[in-house]
Amino acid sequence: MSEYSSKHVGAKGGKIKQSWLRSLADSDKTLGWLFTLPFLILWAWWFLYPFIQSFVRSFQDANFAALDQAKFIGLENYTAILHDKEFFRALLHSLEIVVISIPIQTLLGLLLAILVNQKLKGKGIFRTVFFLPYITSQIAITTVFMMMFKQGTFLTDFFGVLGFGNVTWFADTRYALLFVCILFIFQQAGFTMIVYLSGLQEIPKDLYEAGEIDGASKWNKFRYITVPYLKPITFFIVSVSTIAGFQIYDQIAAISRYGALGSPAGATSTVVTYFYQHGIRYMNIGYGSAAVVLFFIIIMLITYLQKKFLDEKE
Amino acid sequence: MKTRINSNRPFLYIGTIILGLLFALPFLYTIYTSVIPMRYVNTLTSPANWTFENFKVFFTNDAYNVPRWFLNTVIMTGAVVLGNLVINPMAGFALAKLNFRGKGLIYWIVVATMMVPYHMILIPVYVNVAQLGWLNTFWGLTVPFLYQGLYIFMLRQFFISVPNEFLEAARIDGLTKMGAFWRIVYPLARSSLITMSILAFAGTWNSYLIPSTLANTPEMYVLVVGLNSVKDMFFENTPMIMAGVVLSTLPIILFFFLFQRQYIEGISNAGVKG
Amino acid sequence: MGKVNKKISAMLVLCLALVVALTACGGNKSADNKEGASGEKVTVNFGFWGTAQDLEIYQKAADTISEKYPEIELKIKQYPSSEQFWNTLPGEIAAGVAPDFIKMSNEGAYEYINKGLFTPIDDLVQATGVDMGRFPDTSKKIWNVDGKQYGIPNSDMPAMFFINEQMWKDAGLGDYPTTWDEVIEAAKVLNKGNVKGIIVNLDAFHITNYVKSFGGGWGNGKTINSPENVKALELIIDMYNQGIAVTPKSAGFGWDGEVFANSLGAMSTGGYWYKGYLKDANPDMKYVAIPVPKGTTNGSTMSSDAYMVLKDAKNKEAALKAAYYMTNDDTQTAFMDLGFNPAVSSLSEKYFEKNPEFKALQPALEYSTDYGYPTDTKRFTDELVKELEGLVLGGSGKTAQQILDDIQSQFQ
Repeated sequence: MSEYSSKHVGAKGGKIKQSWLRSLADSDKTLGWLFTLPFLILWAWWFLYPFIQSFVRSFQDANFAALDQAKFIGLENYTAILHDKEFFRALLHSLEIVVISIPIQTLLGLLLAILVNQKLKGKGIFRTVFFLPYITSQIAITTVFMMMFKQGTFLTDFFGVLGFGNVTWFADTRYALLFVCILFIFQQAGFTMIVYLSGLQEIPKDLYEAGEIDGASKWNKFRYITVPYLKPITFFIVSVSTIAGFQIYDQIAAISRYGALGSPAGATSTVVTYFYQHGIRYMNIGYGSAAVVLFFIIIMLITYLQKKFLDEKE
Repeated sequence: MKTRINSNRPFLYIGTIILGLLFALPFLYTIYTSVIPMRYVNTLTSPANWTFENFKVFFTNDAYNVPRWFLNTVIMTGAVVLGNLVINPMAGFALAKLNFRGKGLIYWIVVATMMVPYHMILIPVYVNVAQLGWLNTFWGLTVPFLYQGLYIFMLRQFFISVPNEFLEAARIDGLTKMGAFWRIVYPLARSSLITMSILAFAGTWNSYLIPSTLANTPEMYVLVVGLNSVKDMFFENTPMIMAGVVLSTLPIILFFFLFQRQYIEGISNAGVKG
Repeated sequence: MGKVNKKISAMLVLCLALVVALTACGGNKSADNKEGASGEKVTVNFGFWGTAQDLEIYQKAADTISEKYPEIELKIKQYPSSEQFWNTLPGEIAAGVAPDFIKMSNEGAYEYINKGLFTPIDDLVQATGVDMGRFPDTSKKIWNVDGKQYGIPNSDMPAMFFINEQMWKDAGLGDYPTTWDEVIEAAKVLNKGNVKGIIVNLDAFHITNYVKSFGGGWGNGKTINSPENVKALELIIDMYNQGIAVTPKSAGFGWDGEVFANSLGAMSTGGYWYKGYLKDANPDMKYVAIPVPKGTTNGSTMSSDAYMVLKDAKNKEAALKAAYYMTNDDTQTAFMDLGFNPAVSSLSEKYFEKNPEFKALQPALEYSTDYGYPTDTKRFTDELVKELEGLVLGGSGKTAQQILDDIQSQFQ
């Protein structure tokens, strides 16, 4: 009924108008812009404009709490950062987190997704449980992990047997960053799982049926149907997790609570804690903004490379 | 690996259960800590000492207005998720399946947007919101967040995998591209839209930095901010904090549990044949 | 290629135009609130972060302020945390909705004062006729920078040294220590298995107290590597080398009070906040609070907080009056009941009657002083903590002299 009446109204508008509209709704060019327009408007107003303001700050000596007294100092912030070995230390830590965590959490997430995509009793519960760390406050999770990874618990005893020192992990400069990686993997695996889960859902069943007719083994079906189909999603997961890895903050803040950010002794400093420390905590927002701009350039490069190697050819 | 799957079933269950326990442990411990008096923090104590006092405070202390905060959170999260459900898929579809000049640029805009820590632009955003008179209103809490670069990117990646044959078939049936999007792609991408909704829901519900900055009167607090706002001590009362975490996480768990059922294998079969 | 460039530059021009237009719009912000004509009320906004009880007390003060200052309407704004306050403040100032005055502690105030966030109140005191004579000189001095007064003191309390009474008695030890040498001797006796003799939190507050007890101090950045400071740091390092000290972090905790409450350390430097915390965290614990032991002299830090008027306050005189009203006897008594020692001389005596466990600290009120951190306070304390953690938790192998020299070189 409703479909009929809408058609009826459309007909009233006259054939010419209808076909004009139709061609609009069918043209890649207009539709492309039409569909991205709501995003672009919001983006320009709520991202680009604020970002440009912050970008301008990166050339200023700007006190966070007295922005009206900011002075332009050219590239001074940038040169100062590039001469600060703490910045490169932080950058190295960020890269370490990404390099260690991303492969593990991607594979773990895929494994979890495959597990809970099976015919399994109570799989709703399992899905929820695996997703739990992602939705629970990271501060709470970190607090709990800190209780488990302190000297003398069964976990540190266990790792002690494996050759790690039996120490409080987050208080030891050797293990603190690894501790952050464990937290990050644990959090991000749930995210990876549900993205993969929906990816698995959308693989057309006919592809598997066709594979079965050709007598493909389960492994081959996985290798030649599932994996290629999930490739764009995998690219998404890897690049998003890379960004998330670079931006990891809550966990480190929880470890450093009551102390200096990046504790112990700067062993868990990252580019984001570096920005936070200088830009917000030391109120030197110009310097902090410059750090973010540099960080932005680096991570853009990484994503560009990832796209080249992981994303499909269009 | 190929045919042994049935004989492996007990192992599958055992493995999944072990993994499940591992993943559930921190949250279980959070629940445990939320029901013990402060003096037992860091120790295991018998259920005889458990108490709901920490939760009761939230509902009896005048400083807390949990129902109001809950309502605020529902409104904020609902509006943001709905906005994301309209704006992101459209942009994602345009980037995945339409050819137009400027597309490459928009793609990199989307990607670049994700990379800036929000803290960096928070002050200008705050001033923006204030100049519109939107401080402490739902407008300020929702409008800037109706899109998310992350989810546009995600949906683009999903839509790329939608076979072009579907769109061509739609064309033969007389649908425009716009029609094909709303009638074919949108329903077809159901599970990815569910995923996006779940992620957007969890992200918005749990957000602290933004709502605590843009809305800082007790009437406009959202749950996470409100539960963190009122401290009764000089130092952190861990059980109270954990009780707050449990209270604010339960709705997301419920939301997820209800929606994960929508993941039904092979849903895309519906449109393929023919 | 050319086409793409054109597109991009068109886009940039567009963005720029947008930005210019927006900045122009932002330029003519609504003019400041007009001073109320006679009879009209002036609204003063007070911002604070703290507990629910604090809010209640302030709300009461807001309700009664008209009795003394009928022209002022006081609005209380609570921030979820100090971090949240500082995060929001720049935006609030830009948008013209920042509070007119706030309460803050002297641990971080020097930095904000020197960075021009607050207004000196000397002229305002003259103009409004508030009575600064109610506050002792030691308190006022903390809030005086370069000869200018910045804060109206609210409370002050010396740092303390806490001893687990049960452990002390069980070990058969006699009088409580008055010097670090006696502390070390006792710590060796108290050091048993899991329990460490002394908790030395590698945190600026605690380290500063060691430094002061040797007659040292940071001198606002000028005397970071003074011989007294080096001696104090050597003492700390020595206690770690002897295995009688523990930092909360390596025991798996956040701060010293937690270790103390869990009976994993017998002694610790600390402050008045121990009382409220221990009451919940370990209600059965018996503890003793004494002045910080001597290195070479009596010395410890004073924790003070005060009301300060922001430099962007719309009506500074009204703000100062309201700030002064916060120190009225009723409000101060209410805070006293929560454990704060009022900076009003006439009330302080009662405080020690109400909090007998702190009685031993009364003499320390005379000689305790401000922290004396450099202008870049947070950068300094972060650096200090980082260096000490590097030594104790990371085995950097530096000496006390090297550590302080390194830090001094960054804060000329």
